[in-house]
Amino acid sequence: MISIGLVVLSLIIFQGIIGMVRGFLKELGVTLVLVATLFGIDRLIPFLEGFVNGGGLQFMGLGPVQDNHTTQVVLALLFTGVLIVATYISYQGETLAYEGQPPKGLIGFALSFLVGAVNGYLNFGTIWWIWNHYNYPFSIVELPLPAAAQSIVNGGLLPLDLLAGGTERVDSWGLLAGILILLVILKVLR
Amino acid sequence: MTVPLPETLTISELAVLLVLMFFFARWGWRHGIDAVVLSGLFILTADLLSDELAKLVANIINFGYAFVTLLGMGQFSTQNLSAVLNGTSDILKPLVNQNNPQDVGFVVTAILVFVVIAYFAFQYAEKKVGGKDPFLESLFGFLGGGVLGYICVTFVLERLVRFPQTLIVEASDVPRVRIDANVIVVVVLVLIVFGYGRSKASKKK
Repeated sequence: MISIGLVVLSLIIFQGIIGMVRGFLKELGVTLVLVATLFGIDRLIPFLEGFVNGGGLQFMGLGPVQDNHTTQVVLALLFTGVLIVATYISYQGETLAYEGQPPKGLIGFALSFLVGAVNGYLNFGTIWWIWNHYNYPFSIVELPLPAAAQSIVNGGLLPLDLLAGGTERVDSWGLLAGILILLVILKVLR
Repeated sequence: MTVPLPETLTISELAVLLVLMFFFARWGWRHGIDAVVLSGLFILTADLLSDELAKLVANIINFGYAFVTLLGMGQFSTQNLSAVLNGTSDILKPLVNQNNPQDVGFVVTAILVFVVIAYFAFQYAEKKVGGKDPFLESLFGFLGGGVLGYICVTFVLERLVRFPQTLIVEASDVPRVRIDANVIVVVVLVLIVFGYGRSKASKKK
C-alpha cells in the first residue's frame, strides 16, 4: 500500500515534468484557472454546507455533512468534479496561456518545472484536502493515514488550508485573492 | 541656541534594521527583481560560506605575518611557523585567531569577506540585469531588496555589536527568516514574477 502523501508527491513531480514540456507561460495560464477555481471552491463550500446542514437538500436524502455519509460522498464528488473540469478547461487549448515567449535555457526549464509542480500541488493537493474534509468517503485511502501524511494535513500544508484558511472563516479570504489579483495583473500587463 | 538632546539615545534594533534595509530595498526598486534574485544567489552563498572563507584568508594573513615576524625574531622554523598557524605557539600569537569565532581579527576578516562578495554581487547584478524595469518588477525588487538588506545587515550586526556608549540597542522581537510554508509561497510568487519578467513579449502584428 502506498502512502497518499507519496502518491500526491509523485503526481506533483509528474506534473512538474509536464510543465517543463509545455513551457512556463502556458503553465502559468493553468495556474490562473486553478487559483480562480480554488477561490470559488473556498467561497462555495461554507455556503453549500450551511445550506445542506439547514435541511435544504433533505428531499434528496442529504442530511448534515458531519453525520451523513451519502452527503459526504456527494459533496466530495461534486467538488472533485469541479476541480477536474476546471483542470481540463485550463489545459484545453491555449486561450488562457500568457502571451510571449517563455524564458529559455536552464532557468526556463527550472521555472517551467516549478510552475508545473505548483499546478500539481494545487490540483492534487486540493483533491486530497476535499477527501480529507469529507472523511475520505471513497474507501480508496487506507485509514489511519501514515504519520508523515497526517502531519501534512495537521500542519495545514494542503492548498485550501495554506492559501485560503481552510474554508472555515467566510470573512477571511486568505492569500488566494491576492495571488489571483497578481496573476490577473500579470495577464493584462502585457 | 542649542537644542538639548537626551543623555541616552535609545533606539530599537528593529528601527536600525528598517532604516538600513530601506537602502537595499531602494536598490531593488531601481534595478528590479531580476537583479535582486541574481545578487541574492551570491549573497546567500556568502552568508553561508563567509566564515569558512574567512578561515582561508586568516591562514594566508597569518602565514605572511608569522613568516616575517619569526624571521625578524630569528626564530623561524617550519615547526614554529605551523605552531603559529595552528594557534599553539608560545612564541607568537597569530594575527587572526581562526579557532576563536569571537576574535576581533577573525570577526573583521569574516565581515570583510562578506562585504567584498556582496559588493561584487551587487555590481555584477547591476551590470548584467540592472536598469529600469516595469512597475511590478520594481515593486517586487523593492521587497526582495529589503530581504537582501535584512540578510546583509543581520550578518554584520550579529558580529559587530559594539555601538557607541550613548546608543543603546534594545533587543526586539524581530522575526528570523524561517523557511516555513508561507515563506515558500512568497518565494514561489517572486519566482513566478521573475520568470514572467524574463519572458519576452510577442511581437505585435
